[in-house]
Amino acid sequence: MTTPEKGRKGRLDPSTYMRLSGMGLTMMAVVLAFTFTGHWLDGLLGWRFPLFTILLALVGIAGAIIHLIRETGRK
Amino acid sequence: MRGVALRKTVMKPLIRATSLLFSVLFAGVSFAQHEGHDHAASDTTHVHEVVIPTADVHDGHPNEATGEAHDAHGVAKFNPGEMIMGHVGDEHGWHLWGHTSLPLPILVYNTQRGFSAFSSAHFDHGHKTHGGYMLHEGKLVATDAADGTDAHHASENEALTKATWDLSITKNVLAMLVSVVLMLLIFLSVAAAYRKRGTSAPKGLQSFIEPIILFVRDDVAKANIGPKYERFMPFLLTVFFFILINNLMGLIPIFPFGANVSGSISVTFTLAAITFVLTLINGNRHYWGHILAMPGVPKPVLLILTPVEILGVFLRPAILMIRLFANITAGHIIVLSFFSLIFIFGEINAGLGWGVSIFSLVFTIFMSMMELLVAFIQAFVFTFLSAMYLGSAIEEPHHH
Repeated sequence: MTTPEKGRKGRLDPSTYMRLSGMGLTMMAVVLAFTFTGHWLDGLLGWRFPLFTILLALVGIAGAIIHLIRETGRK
Repeated sequence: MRGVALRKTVMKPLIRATSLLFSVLFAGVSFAQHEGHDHAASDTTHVHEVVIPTADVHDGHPNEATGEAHDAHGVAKFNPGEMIMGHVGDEHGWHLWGHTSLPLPILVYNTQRGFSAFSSAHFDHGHKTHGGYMLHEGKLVATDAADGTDAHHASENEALTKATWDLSITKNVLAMLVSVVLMLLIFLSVAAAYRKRGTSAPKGLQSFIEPIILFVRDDVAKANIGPKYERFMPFLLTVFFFILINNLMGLIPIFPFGANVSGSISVTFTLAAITFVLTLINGNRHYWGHILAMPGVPKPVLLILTPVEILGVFLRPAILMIRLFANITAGHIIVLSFFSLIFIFGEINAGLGWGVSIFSLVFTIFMSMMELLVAFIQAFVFTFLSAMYLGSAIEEPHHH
């Protein structure tokens, strides 16, 4: 547990949670965007093994998590 | 510490109550849909059984605004889905009560046919064609049928529909114009009061609006944008009051209020697009540097992070758009669902309908109170996040 950032008058600074309020949707959209790019690439190449779908989906998940850690760690 | 403890004691029962409310509500809605389905099915069987050559073909098609579908005997059946969607969505013409509605101008431009303008009354609530157009499930589509043909039997000319631009003054457009007039009245009178009274104490409407303006200036603009906040104040104040007034207008159920303007995705899209364009225009070197190549991040990680950050540029306004749209539309749907419960149970048994109406009324009042709060919160959140994105765009690099 991290101590929440305190703004003026000892209240929780609204910008802290407001900034993170769209995080769920952002993470979802990042993973989906990467996965569909991979799917599109696989369609283009026509290989039997959907390499890019799997690879870019994993990269998307990694990116979403890195993004989450950076955003929540920011002061 | 006290604040945290208080939040815990207040929030827990609140969350529990809300989740309970939602589970009850969704049970009601799914039940309602099931009911509506059954009615629709029985309607068609009725029509098939009673084949009268002169049967009025209008009946059996639901009236969007009242949610009534008639069977072959002319008995009104309540369809909550139709009623709710009719109220939440946009319309050509403004339904007032019963079968009375205010016709609105249809302005349509077609790249092949040119411009035409006529009253939506000619469509007869979507039952008739006029001027080569008709309403299909609330949408304006082109047709080759002659004027006054039954719209349910006319076929759509899809190629011409694609060339059609519907520029009509719809219910939402009219409501938005009403809100503009209202805002002009409020702010011109407040501005006049400042001109007259100068720096002396505010009075009347002025003293009601002043703290809100100061709140937007101090807690939204200054807190997020910093010393250069002044040039964004006109935008932030306009967005805040536009959303707030339209949210509140949407809660008043009588004409000329009650349209779902801030719960219309086109309106929230436009608002979010303005924020998006302003961020792009005002973005400085520091901002773009952080997006394209985050400093202090190793190169391989940058390969993943840069696409994520670029996606983020588009995602932030998209989420802004969805948040306002979803919150306001959801509020309207919940309130309308409580109303629907009365008629769903009333169709089973009149006494049951009266009994349920007490609970419906209590919940509707409770939800309306919540919506008053949501109206303010959503206007605040939209303005606050817009200010935050603008603030990050013009932020100067700080040297440590």
